[in-house]
Amino acid sequence: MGAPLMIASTAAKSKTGRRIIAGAITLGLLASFFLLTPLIAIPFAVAGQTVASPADGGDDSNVPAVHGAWGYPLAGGYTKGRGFGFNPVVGCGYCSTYHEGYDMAQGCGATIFAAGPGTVRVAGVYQGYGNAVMIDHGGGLITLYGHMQWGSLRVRVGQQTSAGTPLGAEGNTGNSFGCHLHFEVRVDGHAIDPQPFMAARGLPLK
Amino acid sequence: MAAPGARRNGLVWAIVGAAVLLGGVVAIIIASIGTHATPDPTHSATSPSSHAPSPSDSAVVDPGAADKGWVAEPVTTDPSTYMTAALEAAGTFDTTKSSRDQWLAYLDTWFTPDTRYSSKADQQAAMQRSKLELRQGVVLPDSDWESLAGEDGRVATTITGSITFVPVTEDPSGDMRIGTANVTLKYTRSDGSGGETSYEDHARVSVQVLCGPGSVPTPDSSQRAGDCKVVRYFTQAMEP
Repeated sequence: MGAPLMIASTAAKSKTGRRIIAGAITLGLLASFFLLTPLIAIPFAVAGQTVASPADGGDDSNVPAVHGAWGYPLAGGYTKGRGFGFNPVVGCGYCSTYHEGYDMAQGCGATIFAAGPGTVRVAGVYQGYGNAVMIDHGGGLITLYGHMQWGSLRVRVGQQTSAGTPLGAEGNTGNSFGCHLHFEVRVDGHAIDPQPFMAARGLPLK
Repeated sequence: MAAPGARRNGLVWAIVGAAVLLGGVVAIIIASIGTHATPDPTHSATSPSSHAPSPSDSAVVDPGAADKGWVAEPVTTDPSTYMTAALEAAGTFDTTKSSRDQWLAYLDTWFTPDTRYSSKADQQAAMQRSKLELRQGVVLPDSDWESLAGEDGRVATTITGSITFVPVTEDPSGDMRIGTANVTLKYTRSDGSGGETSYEDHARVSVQVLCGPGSVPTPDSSQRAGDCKVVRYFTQAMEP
């Protein structure tokens, strides 16, 4: 690294040399701006895409629709992913063909809400569900919220919930590819289809 | 005071000189970085001393495969033994020890041309299709790999139960077989707090192998023509 400094000090002794150095500095600055612009612009662009805004329901001020004692686990619109039951992962022969939940996505960081009143039984890493929350609603009924971001959980084991209680942030932890919520409903230990379950409570899913 | 022409010439020379100077600086910086480049972890992870020779080494193509988190390809003429290894290999990897591309390149060495095609060109084309199919429709997709790699994950796949054999059509040699089996994929990944968590997934998968004179052994290995090789992995289970 000493060679450039030696060249620069020698060049600075003449007028042309100083011009060369000035030109080099100008070109260097231009190249730096050119190279650094994406490093600054891309994070902003990504943040703009992934951080949930109130308009898409990621903010707590935009609470989920509630019907009676139950509500949606996301506030506002969402994209539907894999549904319940036989649902092979496209392009993966070595993946389970059966899906025990209902995948829905709003964007990384969107707030996940409790669907109903109950007691938190699991709050943390849980099998392939990554960072998950499991709520016991009594009578053998359990809802599970999977793949939330690490460090985003806002409830603890034993805490009481009601529809709309913020649980954490939509993420990509565990056996997941791409941010989404894995919403699962279990009755007596067996997963059931969340769509008719929610529809029966006046909350039809897509 | 210099004439405008002379001043313009000076400016041009200044720009040219600046570009040369910058190029030299950049070259020196790149050379400096190059000499300090970190060795490829996948190569350093498989130092000769880390692998203790064992009696079974002679029965596998690459004894060092296990050090990379992969299943070693057996040298055998027994279809069941080979199918078991082949089905487990396509679901066994460690994202901390190799990239997905390296793993797939390794799996490519298990393949042999499909001898049902008469011309060499057709055989090669079919094998390339099978390798592409492996990447695009069989093994864990790239997005899943990336997600798993983000949590230092690994997967170990084992066959549960027996292999069901499915006839291969248009194979007068009778040397090809399709085997279908249930597999359990044990995922292990970080739990977000410094520890690890494991869980299992289940799938039913199929592989077609050739155990006969037409098989092409892996170069520079103890395999011989006639030893079993993979012809194709299927995107979904093949049943009788």
